[in-house]
Amino acid sequence: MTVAKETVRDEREQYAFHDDITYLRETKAGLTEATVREISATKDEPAWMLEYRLRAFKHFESRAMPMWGGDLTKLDFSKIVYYRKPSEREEKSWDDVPDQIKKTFERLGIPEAERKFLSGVGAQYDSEVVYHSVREDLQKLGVVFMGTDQGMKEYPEIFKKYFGTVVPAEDNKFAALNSAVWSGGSFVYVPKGVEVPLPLQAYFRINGQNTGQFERTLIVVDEGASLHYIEGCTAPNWATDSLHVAVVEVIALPGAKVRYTTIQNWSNDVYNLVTKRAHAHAGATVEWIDANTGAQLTMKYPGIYLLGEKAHAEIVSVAVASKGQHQDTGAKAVHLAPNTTSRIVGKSVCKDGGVATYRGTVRVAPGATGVTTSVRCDALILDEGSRSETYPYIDIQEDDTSMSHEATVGRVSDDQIFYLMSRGMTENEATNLIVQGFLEVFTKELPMEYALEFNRLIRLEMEGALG
Amino acid sequence: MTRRALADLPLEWATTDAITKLSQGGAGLPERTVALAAFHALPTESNLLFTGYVDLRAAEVEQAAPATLSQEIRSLPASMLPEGAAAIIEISSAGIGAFLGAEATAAGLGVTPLSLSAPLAGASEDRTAALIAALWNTGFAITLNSGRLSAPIIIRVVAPEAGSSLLARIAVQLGEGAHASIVEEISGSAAAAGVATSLLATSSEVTLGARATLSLSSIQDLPEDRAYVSVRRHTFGEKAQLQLAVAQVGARLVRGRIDHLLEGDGSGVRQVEVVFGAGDQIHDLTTYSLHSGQKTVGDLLAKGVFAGNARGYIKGVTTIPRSGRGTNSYLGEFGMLLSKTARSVAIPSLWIDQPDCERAAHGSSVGPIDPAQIFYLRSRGLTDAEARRTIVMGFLEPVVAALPLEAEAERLREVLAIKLDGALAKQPAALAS
Repeated sequence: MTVAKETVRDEREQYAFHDDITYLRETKAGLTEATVREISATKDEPAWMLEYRLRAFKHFESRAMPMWGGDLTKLDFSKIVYYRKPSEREEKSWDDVPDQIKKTFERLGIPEAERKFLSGVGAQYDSEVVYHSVREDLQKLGVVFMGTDQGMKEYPEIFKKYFGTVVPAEDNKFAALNSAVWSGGSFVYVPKGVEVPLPLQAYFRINGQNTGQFERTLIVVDEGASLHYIEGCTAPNWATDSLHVAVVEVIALPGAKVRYTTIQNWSNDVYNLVTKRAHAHAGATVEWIDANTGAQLTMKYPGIYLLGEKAHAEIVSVAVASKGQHQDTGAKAVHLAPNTTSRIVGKSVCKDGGVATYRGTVRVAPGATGVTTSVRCDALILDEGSRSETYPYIDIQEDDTSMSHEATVGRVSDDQIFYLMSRGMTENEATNLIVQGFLEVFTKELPMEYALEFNRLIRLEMEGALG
Repeated sequence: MTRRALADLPLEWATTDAITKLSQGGAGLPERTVALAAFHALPTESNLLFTGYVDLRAAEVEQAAPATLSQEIRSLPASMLPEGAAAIIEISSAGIGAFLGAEATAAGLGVTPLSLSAPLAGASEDRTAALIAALWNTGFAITLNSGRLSAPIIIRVVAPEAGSSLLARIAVQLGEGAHASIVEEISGSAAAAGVATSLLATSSEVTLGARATLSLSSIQDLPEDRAYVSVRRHTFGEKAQLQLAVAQVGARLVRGRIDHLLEGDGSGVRQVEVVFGAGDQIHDLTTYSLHSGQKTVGDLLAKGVFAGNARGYIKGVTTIPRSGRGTNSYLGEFGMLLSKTARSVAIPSLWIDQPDCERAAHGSSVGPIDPAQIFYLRSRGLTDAEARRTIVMGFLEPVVAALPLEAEAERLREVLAIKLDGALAKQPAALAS
């Protein structure tokens, strides 16, 4: 066990490095209309996108900061660099990626993972996607997996039809910010009836100090098709604030099946303020599997709007809040059609003064008859000084809804620790094991390689939890 | 006409002139002045968690100024004392009347006018409390320093007629080891349902000494042209226990806030709340529990049935600060919708800083009447309507049964049954599915 822990410690350091890179282009710190225009011009975008960005920018400026959630008072928009371009273009071959960046992702294990078990992989370094590839056989079937900027240019019809329809620019202050300055992200299209057999993966890396990463992901899964998309995020610790404001839009057309898995492990100086939402059409299934272990403040509530009859939503959200961290996470299920179902499971662990918040909404709109929905959220508090908050909103407007909600907050029981210690474990190992068991609802949903990595992350977070 | 309501107060009668008149010669004027300023400064919903859910459109009470009432307590005839009760106190637009039976007198029960300068805790944070603290026009204090009073004290609160307001304060103080039970009946003379033009505001301020026990029940069955706002604040000494049963049946608009301040180690509250909304009724109810003492117990259960166009917002915040070691807390909010146009919102929140809790949990559910249950009851010979009635009454029964006086429980069953029959009769089509 001790040896394993040492290995984990090494890995943490492996994520914490940063590269001294000369950016090909970067905007000045701070955000003005000129910045927005500059980003759009750099990307040589169609006029409609510039208009969209400017409209979003106006809304961002006029919209007040949210009064709820985490502490955003120290977030200084004027210090952030909104666009940094590390590479000339998005490469399809790993060999063509600039050496410095290639080294970064090699250290993070990206090309290795691709060879092993992925259908495709994308890597974003600061503002731009530097590498994307998708297996040839899938390409032949019409599966598209590329940077969002490239997607806008190569697939304008699909792009324009769906972009901004799930998360409008005016949705919230941060969605407006993303809509104004977005860059990079993944564009995925899976044609009718195509089942993507292995996950597509995207990897997001913030390297530069005070950098804002504003990736925009658009995933369209056509009728009867299926997809598993995985994203991972890291950043070096700069001790000055970086900002990650992503928007993810997922459209699951009738009968489609989409699973979106996130393992968020930003460094502890990142503000992670993300809007993730999916539309599930008739008979479609959307699953968000979402884990948050990094960032200083995360505000993220993956949402699924059930638009068509018999659509199904599944959200598993886990969070680990350690020293100096606030994980304000949760889930939303909005039932807008008859006979739709949803299940939300939230699990959080807080320790060393961390704050873990579950904030969730279940809404059943008039007309959505025959809905079944269940919510379960549990929290573990490992020590005094840490805090757990639970805010579930349940709004039911149909008389034949079946809704159940349960929540518990507790600590690791002495009996469990005692039992495991009597079997030869140290107190720390016993706690690790119990916490891993508590979060198993998440890990069991992951491909095995990811489950192992996630367990290592948890062990890392848990190190010294009991002093 | 733009409908104005509590949501966009100021009320036209919430003025310096009004509080000067109400303070009758200056007593309590400084307290009222501070509260009036708080009332004008505070938002209707001060809790950001719930801001989006406050809905007070159904009240139009800005013309309903409170009259200045005599603070003296007049004697009621002995014949008004219900059988089995220790005392009766009536509070209405006519002021306060009371009759204390022999048992109450022997136990040393005191019923006195509330001092005009008695502060109302919470008035600086909550707008309804501030309104009552500024403009209360009647109030009394019940004290029982020690001993047990087994028979209940009946408090009748009679709502004012259309176009006027009654803002009443009821302070209850139980000394060390004292025991009492109180039954509140909140009603008014029948009037047609419609937009509320008459306001009843009540404040119940309960202080329990060490090991004191209080059973407090409240049945609110107001006519549906009234607005009813209430604040209840319970402060617990060491090992003090409160059993609270609240039934909200009547009124066009009900907005209630309950605060349990479990400061004393080993203190506990058991609360059951039943809410039945029909027609255009709106219920907006919040319970705050603060477990600041060690080994305190909070066991809160709310059940709501909503028919017609009724809307129910049932909210709760359970806070366990660092000092609250060994807390055992449960918050349950359960709803049943009887029509397609009814709406139920539940927000049971937890805020926990102390890991050493025995239990910190909440649960909620909303569901329709189970067709399997209807089928079973029909197979036993009940009609469809009888089956539905039985199931709804069964859903509410655990709350009704918690009332301490069997006569009161029986009265509540009748009130609920009448209301249920009305609701079911109005919606045969919706329920036939």
